[in-house]
Amino acid sequence: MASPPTASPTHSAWLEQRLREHKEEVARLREEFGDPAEALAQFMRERFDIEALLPDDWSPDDPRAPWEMMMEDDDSGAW
Amino acid sequence: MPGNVIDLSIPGARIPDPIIVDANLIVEFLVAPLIEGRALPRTAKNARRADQFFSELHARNGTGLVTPTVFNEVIHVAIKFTYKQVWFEVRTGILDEYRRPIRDLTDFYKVDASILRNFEGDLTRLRLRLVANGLLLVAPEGLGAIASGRTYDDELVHLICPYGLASNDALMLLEARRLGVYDVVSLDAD
Repeated sequence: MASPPTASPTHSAWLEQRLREHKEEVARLREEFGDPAEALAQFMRERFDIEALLPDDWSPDDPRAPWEMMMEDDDSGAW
Repeated sequence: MPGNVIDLSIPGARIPDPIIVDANLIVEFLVAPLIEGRALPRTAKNARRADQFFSELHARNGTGLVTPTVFNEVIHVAIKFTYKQVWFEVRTGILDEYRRPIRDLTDFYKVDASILRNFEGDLTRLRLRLVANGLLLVAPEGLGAIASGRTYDDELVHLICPYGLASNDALMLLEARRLGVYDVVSLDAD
């Protein structure tokens, strides 16, 4: 792998190289998994139920996304 | 935010490539399959936008850059999801099992680290599936120097205070700048 960049306001040669390597990895994984979105969806369905994940103090009328609330809670240092 | 934030609520918004992807978009993409058919209209709207973004990213073989701070946020939410799932499944018998008061997830996390140890395989599976969906997880050592010449702490304060950013948003922006990428896609226009 190429050396990390030192400073650049635009895409560095290092990033371009990393992007090429990433596309190769993505192609390999898509060959393994098939549809990547479905592979992720299947993983999530196997592991989680939505009823378990919703914050206790959230309601469908809450203007905030429930996951946003979860991340905001992190800022309080309570977790 | 002192970067170019792509607002996915605008129909036909042009998505540059590569682009920095905010944690909220990734988390919505994770939960999207779980809320199909549920009466959660506000959440469903964000999930649809996330689905659409990743579908387009896939279609054009594009790359979403995930900075170290963003990846940490996503991992953190995944861990909280795991503890919430276990908590949901065993809540009724939990006090007897641990022989000490478990009031909330924080207590649960502190009393039973085995849940986290057992999650390692799942985190690996999750990580590979995120990559397969076009996300490039950038390591801290892959970030360039701070172009302004300021020190790390000085640059962070410089981003937080004048622009009124939350510390994690400022960190993400700092990392984006160090990558030389100024476009950020987020569900939060701020």
